[in-house]
Amino acid sequence: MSNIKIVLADDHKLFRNGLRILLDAFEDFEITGEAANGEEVLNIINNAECHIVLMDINMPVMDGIEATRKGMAINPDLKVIALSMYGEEEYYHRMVEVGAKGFLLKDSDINEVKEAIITVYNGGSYFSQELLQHVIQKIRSRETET
Amino acid sequence: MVRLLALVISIGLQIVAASIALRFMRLTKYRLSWILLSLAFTFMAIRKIMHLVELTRGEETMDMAIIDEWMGAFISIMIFGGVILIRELFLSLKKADIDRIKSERKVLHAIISTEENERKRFAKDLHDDLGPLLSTVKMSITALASRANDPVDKDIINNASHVVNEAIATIKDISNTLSPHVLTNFGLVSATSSFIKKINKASDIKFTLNSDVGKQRLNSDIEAVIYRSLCELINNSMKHSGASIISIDLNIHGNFIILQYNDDGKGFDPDILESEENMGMGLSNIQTRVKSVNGIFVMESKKGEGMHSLIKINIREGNEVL
Repeated sequence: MSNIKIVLADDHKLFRNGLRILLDAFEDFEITGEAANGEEVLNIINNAECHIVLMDINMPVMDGIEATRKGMAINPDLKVIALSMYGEEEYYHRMVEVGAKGFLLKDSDINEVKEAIITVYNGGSYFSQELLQHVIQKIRSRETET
Repeated sequence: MVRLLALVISIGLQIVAASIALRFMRLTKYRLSWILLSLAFTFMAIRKIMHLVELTRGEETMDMAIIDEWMGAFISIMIFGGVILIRELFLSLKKADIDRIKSERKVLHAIISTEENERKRFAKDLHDDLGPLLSTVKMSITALASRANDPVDKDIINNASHVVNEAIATIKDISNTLSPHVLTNFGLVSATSSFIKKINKASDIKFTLNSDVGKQRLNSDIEAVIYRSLCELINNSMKHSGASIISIDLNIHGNFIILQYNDDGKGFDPDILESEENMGMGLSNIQTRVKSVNGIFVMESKKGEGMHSLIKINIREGNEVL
């Protein structure tokens, strides 16, 4: 398998640094760029090959939702995985609407991040266990109401 | 002798009245109407003193009689002018009252919106700055966990991971209580249903939320006031009423947003709420917040018949009124 080229988009340098070290430790991953906001993400995907963007939602200048929407317009094959502090449904609804293929919380296990990257790279979608539980809970509470 | 007594009494009283009136001049900011009236009182006293002098001298000249008549006319003119102009004085008093209420509300609004902004900033700093750092720690620890072979090492690492998880959850909790980011980012209805969802995890109260507000955003001060009031009402119902059903209706009617809140709890005697001390911090907080955006808060209850309250705020009113 050729290397999966990954771009990290987050306004926290320390978070990007940490994630880069952890992802670099996996053999098949290659970090090809880092962005501190949505505009920088668009610059990177315009100029370099990239398979996966790990996208923070709250960023200055241009947020992750807008960057995903514009990025998908530039390259419809772009695969975006949201990596967010926020787990409320409003956030993942928005991200899925604009075309994100995955949604992870920032406090995920690094192995979950790895799994998500591989799954989405291979054409699937990946949502963190916590979010799936939210969704299931919601469906259940609807069932008991009716 | 009787005339002398009457003169002395009226001179005494008129001098007292004149000095009181003169003292009020400053209070009325030297308005013409009051100056005229005060002068009229003063001249009335002077006129009486002249009568007294005449009486004790025992002679009345023609000149003095003319001066006396003209003084009378002069006093009448002053009283006439003063009474006509005094309307303006009353109007200005009323305006001062209105200005005072307005500036009170402005101060209240400034205090509350400053507090809300501070909370927002603090919540954001906690959540967005400290949160990702701890997340990085969490990810790094989990990376170590999969590399560790020694069972004791694994235990230590797993424990550290557990502790970091708790820290992250605590930060999210604190930040959300300080200022809910869903309210800031997605508005009133999302924030309300998110709050209800959180409560539903820990209690059996059945909530119904009806709203035609949808994704529409209102002035952020008004959103914050309604959200905080609603949380306070829900907390009160949960703490004191033993309610099993809480219904929330949040709708826009014309220029107003109206929150109707009902619970089916044991209710209370509304007379208890008459005095401020009994009203409890929670309810007076709502009152103050709603007042700061020029809204109305009403609460009704009877023993055994639940509680109903209503908040109504004008959403089209310009900021200059706030």
